[in-house]
Amino acid sequence: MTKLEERLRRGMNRYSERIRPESLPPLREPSGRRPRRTVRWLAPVAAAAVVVGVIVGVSLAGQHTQRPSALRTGGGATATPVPPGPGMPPYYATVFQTYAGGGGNPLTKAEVLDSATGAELKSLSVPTLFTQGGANGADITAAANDRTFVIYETGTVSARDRIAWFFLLRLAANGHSATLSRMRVSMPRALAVDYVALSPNGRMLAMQEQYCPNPGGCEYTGIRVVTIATGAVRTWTTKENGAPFNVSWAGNTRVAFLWEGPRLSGYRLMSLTGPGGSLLKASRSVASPSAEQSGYFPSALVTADGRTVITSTVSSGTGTATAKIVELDAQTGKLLRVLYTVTGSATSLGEGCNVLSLGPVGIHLLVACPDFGRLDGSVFKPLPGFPSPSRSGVSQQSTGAW
Amino acid sequence: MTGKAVDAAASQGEASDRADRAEAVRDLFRNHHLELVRLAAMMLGDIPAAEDVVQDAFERLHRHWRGIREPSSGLAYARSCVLNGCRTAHRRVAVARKYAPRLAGQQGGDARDPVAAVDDSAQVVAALRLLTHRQREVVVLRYYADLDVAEIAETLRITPGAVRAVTSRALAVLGRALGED
Repeated sequence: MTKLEERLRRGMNRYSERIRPESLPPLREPSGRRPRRTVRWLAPVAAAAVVVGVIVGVSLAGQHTQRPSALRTGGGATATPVPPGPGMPPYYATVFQTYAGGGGNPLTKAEVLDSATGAELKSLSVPTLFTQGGANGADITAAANDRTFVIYETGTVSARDRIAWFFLLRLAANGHSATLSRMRVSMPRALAVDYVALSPNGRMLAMQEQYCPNPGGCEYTGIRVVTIATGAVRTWTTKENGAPFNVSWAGNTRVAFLWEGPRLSGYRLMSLTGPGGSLLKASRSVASPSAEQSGYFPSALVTADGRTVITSTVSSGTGTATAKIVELDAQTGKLLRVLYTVTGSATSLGEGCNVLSLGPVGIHLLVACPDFGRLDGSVFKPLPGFPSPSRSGVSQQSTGAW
Repeated sequence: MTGKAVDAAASQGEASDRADRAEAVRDLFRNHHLELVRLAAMMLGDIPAAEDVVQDAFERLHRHWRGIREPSSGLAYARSCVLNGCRTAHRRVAVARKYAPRLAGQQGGDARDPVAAVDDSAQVVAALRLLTHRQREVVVLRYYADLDVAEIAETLRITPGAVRAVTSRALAVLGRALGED
């Protein structure tokens, strides 16, 4: 070994010894946030399970009228800045967790960014729910008025004791100032909630709920809709083996979700006009993306008129994969348009292409496929903030909405 | 067997599989977490980022454990995941810098980094930043992780000849940077 090689070996070993075992954070195990969904009915999570994931934050509202006339298939990032099109939300917000500066614990941060330029307009610290039992990552969902977001964090204190925090993030007209306030949304302690979506009018929260009072399993699962102003709750539940995931809104009166169970899996649409009741009877199936080889279902959003499903497909070859963001006829599943195509390594694209958030008018999507950006019709524009500009941000610790 | 009994059996099977997977990943974590964080730190020069990358790798490992044919290859798979994560993290930092100039000041010297140019290890780690990502991977695997050429080739999915060529070029760069040429 040469002197240089010896010096490299010694220098790197000495550097590495500065990282002490006691300074390292504990393992956070996947517990049910995307991309791997946990059906607690099938397999109750361990009390200490903690994970963060890329989650769908959705805002759907208004009529889906302004469509780009020409179909183009994107091939990657565009070279020049794309001006905002009509109906593009002016701001997007991200939430992420980072160990940087946390002394071994994660810190939760939110950032508001300009949709056209990607410039950071506001950065906020969010109280971090980190209990002994662990905490899931923070997530964010948006209303359709460009100014209202809900950030939430959920955690598992014990098998019988769950916790959920909700924060209202309101932006001023210029996006540079914002207020963050804790929301009063009460939950039974044994109720596990996740996949929260704010309605386009900002008045309701829809979420997955799983009632698991015993460590051995859950008694039922369903969708819970909370009226924010009054605290009124409606639930649609089932004792079927499975659970709803990826909850989003299609207009202000319908909720879309992915039902995943051993006998039946796929996206469904449910009208909220009734008082509540049976989840599967009150909902109907809509076009769904095919499950990937791993069994993973990509996220899907349903337009406000309920006619179109926007989702992604990934086809894998040997080492490479091609991902497409597509529009499907909600009723027939027929492919209407391919909005975006990207080819890359199977490692990065497998479970790595998802639609995150749909603006209220036209096709203005936030996507992570696998790069984060906005999709205006079929033109992709990469955006920062997802993962966070924090140097320790990683993809599965960020989530964004507009 | 009733429908519910079938469900229960399937449920138990899945729960058992999940538990086995979780335990295997936990074992790997207990035994190799530190070395993987150190490996990532060497690649990134940033300890919190290294912790995140390794955490990310373990989540990926948890999801894909069933796809690993030989559980004994879990460490090799984890190492590959970490290196991939480092590569992605580098790309993200580049994107972040493009849009957020305030980050630029954090690149050269990290204020949180305890290795503040006080000993030779700081010079060595700083010199690693001069390498291309591939060169840095090879050097770190060779001289820090003590892998031989064949193991590096397998980890990075390149030929042994490529490993030797990359090593040679990397050492030339490092030699100049460290005054050893």
